Amino acid sequence: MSVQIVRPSWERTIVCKYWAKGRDYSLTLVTSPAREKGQSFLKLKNELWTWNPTISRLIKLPPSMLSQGWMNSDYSNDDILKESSLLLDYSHQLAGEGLHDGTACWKILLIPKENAAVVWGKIIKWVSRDEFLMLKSEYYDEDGVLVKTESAYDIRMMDDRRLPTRIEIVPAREKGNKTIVRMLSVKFNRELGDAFFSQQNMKTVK
Amino acid sequence: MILILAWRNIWRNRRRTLITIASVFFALLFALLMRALQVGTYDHMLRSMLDAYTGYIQVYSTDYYYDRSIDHLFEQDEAVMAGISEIPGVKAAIPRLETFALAITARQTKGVMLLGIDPEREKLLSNPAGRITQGRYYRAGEGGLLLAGRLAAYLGVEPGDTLTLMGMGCQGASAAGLFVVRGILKLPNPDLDRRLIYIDLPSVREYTGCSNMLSSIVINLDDVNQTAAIRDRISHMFSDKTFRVLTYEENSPELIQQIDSDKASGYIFLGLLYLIVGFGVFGTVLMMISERRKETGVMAAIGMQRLKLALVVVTEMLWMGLLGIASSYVVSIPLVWYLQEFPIRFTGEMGEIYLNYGLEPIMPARLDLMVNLWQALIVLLIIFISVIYPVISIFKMKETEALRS
Amino acid sequence: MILVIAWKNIWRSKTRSLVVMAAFALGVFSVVFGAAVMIGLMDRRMYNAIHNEVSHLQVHHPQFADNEDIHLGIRHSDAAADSLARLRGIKSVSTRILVQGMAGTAEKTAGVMICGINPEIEKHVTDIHRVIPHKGGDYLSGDCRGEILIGEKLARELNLAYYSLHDTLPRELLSLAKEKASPALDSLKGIRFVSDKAFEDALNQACGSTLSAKSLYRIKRQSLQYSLRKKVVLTFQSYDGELTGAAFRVCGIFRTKNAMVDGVRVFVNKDEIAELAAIPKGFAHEVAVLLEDGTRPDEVKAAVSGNFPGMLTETWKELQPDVAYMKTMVDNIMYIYLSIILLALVFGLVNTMLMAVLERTRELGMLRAVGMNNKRVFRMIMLETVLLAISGTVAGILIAGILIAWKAKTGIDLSYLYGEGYEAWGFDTFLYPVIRWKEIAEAMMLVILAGVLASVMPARRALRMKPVDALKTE
Repeated sequence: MSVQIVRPSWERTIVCKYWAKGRDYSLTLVTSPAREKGQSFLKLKNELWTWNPTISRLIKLPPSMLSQGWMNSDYSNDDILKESSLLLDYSHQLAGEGLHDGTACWKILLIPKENAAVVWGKIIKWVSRDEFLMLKSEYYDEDGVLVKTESAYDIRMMDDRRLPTRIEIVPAREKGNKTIVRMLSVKFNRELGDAFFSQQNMKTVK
Repeated sequence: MILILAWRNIWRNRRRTLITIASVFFALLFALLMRALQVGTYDHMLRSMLDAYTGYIQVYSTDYYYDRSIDHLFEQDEAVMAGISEIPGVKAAIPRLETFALAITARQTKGVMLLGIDPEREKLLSNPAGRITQGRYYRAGEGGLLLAGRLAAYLGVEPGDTLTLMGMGCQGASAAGLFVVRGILKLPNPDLDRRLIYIDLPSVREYTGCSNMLSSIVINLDDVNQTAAIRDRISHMFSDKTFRVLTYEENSPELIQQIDSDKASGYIFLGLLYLIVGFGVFGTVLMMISERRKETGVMAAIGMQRLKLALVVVTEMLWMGLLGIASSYVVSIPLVWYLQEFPIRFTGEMGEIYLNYGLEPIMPARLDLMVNLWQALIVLLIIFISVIYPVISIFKMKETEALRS
Repeated sequence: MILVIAWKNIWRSKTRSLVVMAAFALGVFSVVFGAAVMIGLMDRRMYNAIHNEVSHLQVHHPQFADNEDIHLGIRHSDAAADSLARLRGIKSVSTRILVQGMAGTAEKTAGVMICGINPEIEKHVTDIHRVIPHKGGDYLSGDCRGEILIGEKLARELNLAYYSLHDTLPRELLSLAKEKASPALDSLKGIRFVSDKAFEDALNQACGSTLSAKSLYRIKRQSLQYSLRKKVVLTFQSYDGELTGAAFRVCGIFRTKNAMVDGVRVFVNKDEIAELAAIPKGFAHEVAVLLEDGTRPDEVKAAVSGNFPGMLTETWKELQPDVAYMKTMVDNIMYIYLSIILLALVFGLVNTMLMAVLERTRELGMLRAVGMNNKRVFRMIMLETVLLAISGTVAGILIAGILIAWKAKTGIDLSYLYGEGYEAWGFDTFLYPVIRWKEIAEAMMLVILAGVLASVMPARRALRMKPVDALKTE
């Protein structure tokens, strides 16, 4: 897949390969541009590791590094780690219907549970009515101010299912900033042993 | 006429006159001495602090001023650098590229401050070449790192080792690289000593992918008092609003406040000194006048006008004051000049502490004509205040009482 | 007998006696007040470091400084701290849990050091509760579950602080408001600016000109306000290696003006963080000790370290050597100033006594002509001098004492010496003069001695003259 980072004064596109098993394991390998090629990122349950071939270093990201964007994009390492909390930390309710990119959607309102360790005041998710694909998410802070929007587009057949192939992450406050993630090719349900998601494999995977 | 009369009067009683002149002499002497030391010390501390890192004036892009991120660098322009260096009073214009990075060793990862420098030009400011404790400085055309002492100790790194650095580069690229440690140096500021790594500009630019960029131009001056004026001149060189030129006061106000509070307490001491020496003059004059009551009574009785009498007394005071001031200058100017060239040196434990702080262990004095003039004026003021009472008493005096005293 | 004559003599020439007394009074006042200012300044510099940062002594695991790992702590710290607190000379002890982590709001995140404290005990050891600015919320309450106290610098980084003009404009803007800028400035009132740039741009635009950096700095300080009761999520790694998070609400903001503390340390309830981070009972990472007399912490060091075997005990001088150095340097400079004042005082007294005694040549000649022998006259002069010296110095000390006592409460506002006013600097501009009886006594002795010695020579000279010649003097 490719990640295009857009800023007011520059723009960059990173191409990478991504393997995932369930929600707890994932491995990402950067293949382009040449300067970044060979870097890999491993998610092992609650830990994030990164490998940089230029300096031959394997580093575990400490909590303070989680706040930075993955490869300096708008998608934060924290987001990567906490994907599973959506189910546990929020209460969900249906909040009507809406339209996104021409597709009819259900709107679901997520309110964080009392004492949940999440920063959002509320999240509104658009889920397509026919295919139940998550098409749009709006993240609000406690005061009800929109902070970030993730929108999905270009639904196509990939391998054995239909998926949005373009996701745009747009921060609300910083003008001219956004990150666009594009799925170039996807394969599902391939066998991946647990050994695949290991530190050794981070250094050698192609 | 009155001038001559007054002059003759004061020499009629030499002893009294000399004592009064002496009080003025000492008043001005001590005031000048203390003020010279205060100004000298203040300048010395300020200079040492500014030389170590921040410089007197700094130039950034406006965006960088608000957000010190690597996205807000500007291009190095030799014409601009030359233009700044040519301004009279500018000691040096020094290019820098600063960025945050992670230093990684086998055992630990630590956040550090990378200071990209021009090895030759930097000698005119923080002078890393002069602070090397292990290893050596850069040779011509060579690249590499110079680590601050405490940081090197923490990471367990020695000259000759390679250190891994990782971080963010320009335009969102990631930065990673291996560098040779050429030397280790001791930085006076303990905070900096724990975080700073010097790196040559070519290396840091390759590492971050920011070719020919700078984060700031730091300017060193000969005289701290010219800071604001030179800053304005440099501002005019940048026609558009995309650059900010700041003095050290504007850049780090809280840092300066520390020194300023010392300056302020210095004023308190000066005030106390004036209290003592001022009263020395005042009291001496008062005593002198009161002893001469009979004499002034006689003068009034034989017909001298009160006004004339008062004028004579005032003129006498003036003569004595001027003689006191003049003689004081004769002694104090050379004294202060001597202390400026050969300042008081601290040795032993005190000296050690100064050196540890990166300061030369001296207490310098400053010969400053303006300052001297002010002190003399203050002394004259004291003299004037001293004569007010006597003048009033002349007018109020009843001859008969005076004659009887 | 001589005493009575001396006394009467003093009052015969009121001017002269008063001048001499005043010279002594002012002299000792200056020395005492100067010393009090000096000591007060020394104390002030250290005060912040000791009361907001390191206390007098701290105990850590020997490797904690290198690598602030959650496992490097002190076992059974509570019991040890309790027994330590009972020792003589120990004022109070607090134990803290330190966990490295990340603090995040919806918009921003920052790396922090989470400091778990018992708020009530902590009040006796540090002054964090006293450096909460106006409208900065409250300190942690007794049972402060879910509450977090953060520094001002961190609040700004997390966008929990903003600039907003009040109805009454800052002084720097008032003059401009009276001119044409008024409606433009009015329209800015109440708007919240999160970024420095936006605020400065808006101000410059409203005023139609670029304000100086100094003015902007002061306006910003006065317009800074805080968003309290906001949610902050702390993420950290627990004792058993699990990545854990928890939500807290900001109950207050503190401002020690030390960037390291204000930007990195956050305070929460110790028991709460212990639970969340699965920290074993009685385990702590830092023990801070405040002494009754903090000037000689080395003497207590052994006793403290005895309570925590195997751990590293350090005094504030070791923890912050730069503060100790700075203090010594500044002390040194002030000693030199004080010496100059003393020197000036001695010369001044000599001069004054010269004048005072030599003025009496005629009078003394008369006394000798009438039959009093030299020795007696000399003794009389000395007695007068001593009486004047004592009364003068006592008066001087009284005035100094009153002034010091008054200013010790309210403090001397140094910023007025710069005409900048309070807002420019804040809390640090105040100097609280401090003096001890020992120093007062020393000063008094010194000044009396100097004055008396100063009159010896002139007295002898006055007496050497033949009475006949002395009588001829005016």
